[in-house]
Formats: sequence, structure tokens, C-alpha cells
Amino acid sequence: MSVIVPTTLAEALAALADSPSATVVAGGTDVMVEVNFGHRSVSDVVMVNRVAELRTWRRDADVLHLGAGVTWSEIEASPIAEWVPALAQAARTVGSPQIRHAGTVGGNLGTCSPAGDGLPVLAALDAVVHLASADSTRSLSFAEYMVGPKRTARRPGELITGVTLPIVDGWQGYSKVGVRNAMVIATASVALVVDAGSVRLALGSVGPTILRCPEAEVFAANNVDFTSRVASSEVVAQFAELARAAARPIDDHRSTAVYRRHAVGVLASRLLRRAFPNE
Amino acid sequence: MTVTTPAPNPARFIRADGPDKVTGSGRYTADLTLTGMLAAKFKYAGIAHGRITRLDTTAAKAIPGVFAVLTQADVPNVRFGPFVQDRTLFADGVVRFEAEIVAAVAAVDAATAQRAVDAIVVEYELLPVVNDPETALAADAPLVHTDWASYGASGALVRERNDASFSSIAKGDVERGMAEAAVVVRSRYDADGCHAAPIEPRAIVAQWEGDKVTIWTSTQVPYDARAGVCETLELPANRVRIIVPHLGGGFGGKCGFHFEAHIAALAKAARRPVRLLFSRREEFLAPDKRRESICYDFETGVSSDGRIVARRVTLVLDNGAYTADAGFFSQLGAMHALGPYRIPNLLAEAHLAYTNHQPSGSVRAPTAPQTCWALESHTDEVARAIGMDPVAFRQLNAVDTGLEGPTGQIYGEIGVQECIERAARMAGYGQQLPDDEAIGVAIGWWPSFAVPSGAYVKIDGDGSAQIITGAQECGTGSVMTLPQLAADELGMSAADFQLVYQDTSVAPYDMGATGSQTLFNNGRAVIAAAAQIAQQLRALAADHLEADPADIVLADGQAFVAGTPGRAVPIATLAGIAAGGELLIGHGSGMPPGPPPISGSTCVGDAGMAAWVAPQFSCHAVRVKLDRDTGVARIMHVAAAHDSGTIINPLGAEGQVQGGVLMGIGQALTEGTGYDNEAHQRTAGLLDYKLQTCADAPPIDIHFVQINTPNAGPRGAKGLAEAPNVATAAAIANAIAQLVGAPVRQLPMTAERVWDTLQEVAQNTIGGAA
Repeated sequence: MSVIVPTTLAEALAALADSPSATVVAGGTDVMVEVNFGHRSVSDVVMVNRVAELRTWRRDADVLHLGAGVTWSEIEASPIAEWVPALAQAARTVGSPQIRHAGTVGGNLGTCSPAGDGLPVLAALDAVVHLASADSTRSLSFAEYMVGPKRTARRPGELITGVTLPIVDGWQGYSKVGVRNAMVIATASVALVVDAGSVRLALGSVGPTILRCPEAEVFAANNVDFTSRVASSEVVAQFAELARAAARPIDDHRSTAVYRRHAVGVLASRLLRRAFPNE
Repeated sequence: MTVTTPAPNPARFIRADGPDKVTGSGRYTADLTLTGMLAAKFKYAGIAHGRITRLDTTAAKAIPGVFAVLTQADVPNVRFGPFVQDRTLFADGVVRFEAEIVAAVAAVDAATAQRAVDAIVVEYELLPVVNDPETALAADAPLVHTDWASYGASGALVRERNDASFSSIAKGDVERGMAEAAVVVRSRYDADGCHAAPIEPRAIVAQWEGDKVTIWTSTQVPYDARAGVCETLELPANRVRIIVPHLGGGFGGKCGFHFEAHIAALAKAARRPVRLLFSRREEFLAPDKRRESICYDFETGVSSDGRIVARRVTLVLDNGAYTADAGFFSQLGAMHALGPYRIPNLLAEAHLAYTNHQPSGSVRAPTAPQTCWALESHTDEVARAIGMDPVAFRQLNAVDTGLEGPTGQIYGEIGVQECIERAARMAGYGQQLPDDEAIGVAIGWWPSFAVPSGAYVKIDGDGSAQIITGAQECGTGSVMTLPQLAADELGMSAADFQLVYQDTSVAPYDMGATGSQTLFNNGRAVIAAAAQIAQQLRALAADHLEADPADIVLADGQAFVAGTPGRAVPIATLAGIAAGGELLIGHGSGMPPGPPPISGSTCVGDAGMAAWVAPQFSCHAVRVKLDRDTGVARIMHVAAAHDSGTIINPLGAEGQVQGGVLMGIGQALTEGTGYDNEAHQRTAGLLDYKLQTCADAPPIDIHFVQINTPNAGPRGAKGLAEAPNVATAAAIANAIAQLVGAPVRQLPMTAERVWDTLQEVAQNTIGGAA
């Protein structure tokens, strides 16, 4: 087993070129749990937590670029929290303060669990995921990137370098149901983004991937008043119903499919009501 | 009734082990390293029930770096167990739960030991899995122990096939009582099992020197651990020394005798020290300590003026694969199902059913929180059925000073009524609340355990003192309270005393950090030991001051003549004199208070739980906010009133209540252990078994109803470690039931279960309207 600790992006990509199937570790908050539970055996490791290029963010006009190594504790604080408040809300529900100091947005994307707290927000914002290898780079929409539960379009030898998000004017929010107030995996989670006459809805923990809800989104866009922020209770109820219909939950030891389907409807209706507070 | 309130002890002392633990300098068992030490690993069954048809350790033994591989063939053929001798150290040819130990390995490191474990070949003939305690009691159910009848067992136990302990309590004529009742309410409740989940997974190190073995182990009960090693490895007690480094929590899960003998046997075979470190998963699966799941069928009859006239209740407890210390749980569970109520006609029947689950055992207040939850939910149903306020119903029916409990024990001065009044007041019971909030109230009780216990006290020539005690510390701070008792007896300060404990070869016997008994019994022992030295000091001072020993007063570090404070000598000076002569050494145990009499009831399978010494009472009132859309309950405020007699260490006592309440919230809402169809635990890890965190902790207001209780512990103290864990889940349930419109009949009351109940209520309402 080798552990490589590069300090530049070029070194990191070179290390991955040498060992394309190496385990990439940033904060280690997902990988080490799997290792400790014996669910993952690690051979070669590339640590990316000291790669300065990955740990920075920048804002270009209405686009926010987050390096893959930006931590949840950075995202939950100003100024990022003002630009993407839904992502900050999600960040605040990630683990404990210690985990938020170590865990990164790139790690959330790398693991790509349907219960990953940041992922519904990235999906609802139509985030773009940037990948690089020693000889090329490419960018994928979130929908192209996440292909299944803990399965992504990342190829051997590729590194997640960052994610770009639009900074939108409209309301956005994130909500989840879990069994306690901290350090909890979502039973169901929902992100909602309002932007330029559109409503975007993404569901977590209720399907093999993060699920967007095109029918609910179109229905909402056609039936709310964006300027006066009005949505009738019938519209809110129907929106919740369409969110439930879009969910594809399962029964497991954490919850039941029936409850999860119900819960995303509740969360979707509450988020829509917050976005459109007037009846 | 009158409640005397002694002046509270002003000392709010900080525990002596705190700085060590907070700074990281304290040593836990897992921190120990001995020269040449090997790592131990167990081979577990992995299946819930099967007969071993092949067990081959040849390949494992051949792996370089493996020093010992043991199975049941390598240890004395001893069947052990405190109530039923139904267990062997290693599987005796049959495995009866998924974490049954089939073999143990000692190797140079943990990875090599694990490779050896994986190389052990075991083949099984699968046997039918007994996965449900109620069906386990059926006459044609497969037996968990085909040889149950031949096992040695405590004579008090009534056993039959898969029922390891049947117990009943009867009084009056329950049939007639029910027939004469104005209203009879029947309820069914089911409580899942749950776990102690201490922060420190257990660790054991064993080292032999000649024919003596020293075992460092994370146990709450060092003498019990020693007894287990002596019994299973056939050794006299004076050749087994148990030492407990700092213990990282226990909550009952580290009571009993666990794996000390396995590690001692490995160390002997390997001729090297051996260390076992449990993973979190092992900590969930392997110990014979899991809070028992219980199902309940209640039937209570009340008169038109709201008095309980009859109760019939049946309990089925999940014993798991082996009986461990759960032998008295059926009677204890029956007592809790009757509760601290006055009931003229009653019949409680409890069964302890063998299953192919992890064995059940003492987790903080065994049988009590789940049974209180079921009983008190039922009690609110009864109160509602006759249109009475639940608090008024309890005030009318609860036991009280001079009145008779369910088994006919007459209580001395007790504070249950004041607990109800205080908790209700602290919670603001009766106040106008938002539509999504309600206050639930529940009362609970718990015995104090009067058992033998010993301590030594000595004062050296420089006047510094030591308490050498068998008492064990599991994080409660109770041992830290002992210096205060010795100091008061000797007119010294608590800071003058250092504690020596955690070593069975140094100190006299104590039952350990179990049964809320440390201060109750070891406090008595320390006072008795200190009293011997006080006697010596008075004689020495009388000589020194030329006075009558009866006139000598010990206070403020001095001995002086009563009424003449000027005629004084420092105790340190007397200690210096004694160092040249008779030495200041005291030893004490004192006599434990005897059980109170009972009359008028009949107990079958009497395990000694029908009469309670110094019973503790509590009332918790909890304000809950419920999200009716999702079923998520949020605990807004907890009021906890306790009668635990005199409070000696207020800081420690408050900590116990806060911790007990938080544990109760976990049991109420999130902590439950389910089994899949093959009897594997589904949530054997902290990722899926959710304990409460600081972010979940509500404000907790505490009141102690202090009664200088006779026939109790030192200064009229009762126990307090387990009582705070009894009534919280029940109070939460009664708040949720008000908000939902019906009780949630399964514990824990997860959001899913609350939401299911809300759906049922909605359907019934619609159905009723149609």
C-alpha cells in the first residue's frame, strides 16, 4: 500500500495517472468509515487535502466556483452562505463540527450517496462537476455525473477538481428528516431553488440517485406568481403530490418506503410555501 | 403527608478523576501495553442457531505468528450462569446466537489474529431459529436448549422449556375486581430491546505470573468478573487479580462476567500477555447485556370514582440465548407492570423466553423504562376512559406513606406524592400550550439493593489518609463521594483522602458499579471503617489532652474537648503518635438493611424482588412538540422530581438525573434493536443505532424530595443511578399520545411509528364519521 500526499494539482493528477484506481481521500469522513467497517479495502491512497488549488473558491459574477477541497465549515459560513444559502443549510446538517471541518464538497461528490447532504442542492442548482486527469479535463452536469447509488461517471485516473454553481436571485432552501438533531443521515431530504421563472426540486434518500422532479417543477412554474410570491394551498398540495410521485424510495433498516415517500412530500410543500409565502 | 427536608449538603465537589480524564492523562484498559503482548480475536458463529458438524483449527494454528487457538475442548467443561447454568465459555457443540464464540485466537498482532480466525473451518447443521419471544413459549416451539431440564439453576426459578423464568404476583380476587369495575381498559404494548452503548468498547488484558493471573478489564463489577474466571477456569479467588483502569462508561452493559476467562485462557496457552480490544460492532453484538424487549397485555379495572380496583397483566421478556443476570427480570418486570399503585386485586404473570437473540442483561434499570412506558401509557388510557385528569388519577391511586404497595409492603415515609406535585409544577402542567405541544406525566419506582460491601481506611503518620475500597467507578462519580463520608466521620476534609480502588487483590468485596448500590452500601462500609479510626483518635486525644474519650470531638482537622475548643490537638499530630504505636487502620462493612415484610400477596418464582428496601420514586413531566406532518417529536423541556432519600453529593446527583433523562429520551424516540428474519441485529453500530447528542438535549429541571429515610443507606440516602432512567420515555409517550390522539404502541416511538399512528387515528376518525 502506498500513500501519496501531493501538494499541487499537477502532482495529484500525476499520482492518479500512475495509480488510476487509487482511493482519493480528502477529509476521509466517508472513506475511513467504510474502511473501519471493513466495507472497503484500500490499496493505494492519494491524499488531496494538501492540494492548495483544490481548497480555494472564487466568485466570477454570478458563478461560484468551489474547489473540491472546500469544507462544509467554509460553506456554512459567510460569504458562501449568503450566495448559496441552501447549500449552507445542507452544510450545517453534515455530521458534527469536527466532521464539517474535515469533510468536503468534493468528498460528497466522490462518495455520491443518495443520502449525501449537499447533493440535492447541487442537483437543484444544476451544478457542473469538473473532472481532471493528467492529460485532459471535462465538465459534466450533475445529472450526467451521478449515475447510481454511490456510482458516478468519474473514470479511473480522474480527480474531482471542483463544482460550479449559479448564484441565483430567487429563494432557495434545503430540508431533511432525520432521527435526531445532529450527526444523522437523512431519511429523506429536499432542495428547492427558485430562479428566473423556474422552480427546481431535487429529492435525496428516496431513489438510487438524487431525483429531480420535472413534472412538479413545470406545474409549480405554471401555477405560482413569481412577482407577488403567491402559491395557493391547492398548488402547494399538488406540488407535494407530484414530488411524492417522483420519489422511488425503498424499505431498509433506517426507514420505510412509505414513510420516505410521504416525508419528501411534506418537505417539498413546506419549501414551496417558504419560497411563496403568500396564499 | 410530611416531607422532612434536611439541610442540603453545601459541598458541590468536583470528582477526583476529572482532571485525568479531561486532560487525557488517565489510562483506560486499551491504553495498556505489556512486553510481548499478543492480540486476541474471537471466531463468532455468524448464524443464530446451528449444530457444529465440523470445527477445524489446524490451518489457523499453522499461520506464522499465531500463538494459541482455543475452543471449548481446551478449557474446563464448566457450565455457568448466575441464575441458570446454561452457558459455556465457547460453543458446546451448538451455537445459539450470532455472536456465540466458537474459538479464540492469540497472535502477534490483530491482523494476524483475524487471518487465523478466518482460517478456522466451522460447518453447521442449521437449526430452526427462535426469533420471537411470544411464539417461543408455544408448546411445540423449537427448543433453544434441548437439555434445559438438566441445567443447574437457582431454586427460586420456575422453568419450563423455553421459559427460563416464570414469575407471578397475585393479590385479592382479580376476577371479582374486574367484574365489579365500572370501566375495564385493555392495552397491548411492545417495546424493542436496546443497548447500554458505553463510549468505551470493552478491553481486557491478561498476564500470568506463575500460577497467578492478573486481568485488567473494563468491567463495572470486578469481583463478579473474578468469580467468573475462578468458576470457569477452576482457580481459587486468591490467584486471580482483577484491576480496572479508568472505565469509559458502562450503563449496566459492563456488569457481569464476560470475556475475562477467554483472555486469561489464551494468555496461559500462549505463555504471553494477551489483549482483547472490541470493535463497536462487537460491543453491540457479543456481550450478554442487551435491554430486553418486552411485550405487554394490560387489563385494568377502575371504579366510577377513579380508583384502581383490579389489574391483570402479562409480560413476555426476550431472554435471548442465555440467561445471564436476567433470571430475576421476570419478577422485576412484573413489579414494574404493577407500578407504585394501590391495587387491591391483581395478577401479574411474566415469562422470560429463550430466543436465538443476544442474551439480555442488566442495562440501567433493567425492565423498568420500557415497562414504565407501557404501564404509564396504559394508565393515561385508563384515566381518559373515565374522564379523569392523568395527574389527578395518579395522585388518587399512587402509593403513599403508610400505605400498601402491590405485594403488601407497607411504606415508611416516601415522597411519591410530592414528586408528582413538584414535577407537574416545574413543567407548568395545566398551562395553555400551542396546538402542537403537550405535557405528559409519568411516575416510576426502583428498589435500592442492600448487599454486603467492604472498605478500609487508614491514616498515615503525616496525617494523610486513604480509603481502600472494593467499590468500582463507572463514570457516575459515586466512588468520588466516599471521601466526604469518611471526612465527616473523622472531622477532616474530603481533600485529605486519596482513593485506592479498582483492584480485587487489594480491597475487600463490593458488588460493583451496579444496582445503584455504591454509595448505598459502600458508603456504610466507609463510615464503619472511619468510625474505628475515630475511636482510636478519641482514645489518643484523650491521653494527649488528659480528658475522657467520650468528651473528645473531631472537627476541622483537630480533636478537642467538648465545650473547650482551646484544648485541642491536630489529628495529624495524633497520626504521628499512632505511627509509632498501634497505627490508624479501620475496616468496615456494616450490616445491610434487611428486606421489609410483605403480606397478603402470593409470589411464584420469587427472585427476591417482591419487597424493596428503601424504594426510590420519581415523577417526570415532559413537554413535547410534535410535527404532525412527519411524526417527528421534539423534547422541549423535562421536569424530573426524585425521592432518592438524602442527597449527599448534589452535583453528582444532578448529573445522574440529566444523564438518565437523556438516555430515556433516546429510548423513547430513537434507540431500538430490531432483528431480521435470520435473527441478525439490524442496527449493530452507532451509524444506525442513534443515541441522543448534545444538540438533542432539552432543558432539564430537577428537584429532589429529600427524606432522611430509615432502613436505608448512609444518612438516609437511597440509590440514584438507575431511577432517573425509569420515567422519561413514559412521560414522553403520554405527551405524544395527547398530540396524536392515541398512544403509540411500540417503543421506540420513531417518527415512522408516530406517523403510522396518526394515519390510523385519521382513518378511524373518517371511518367513525362515515
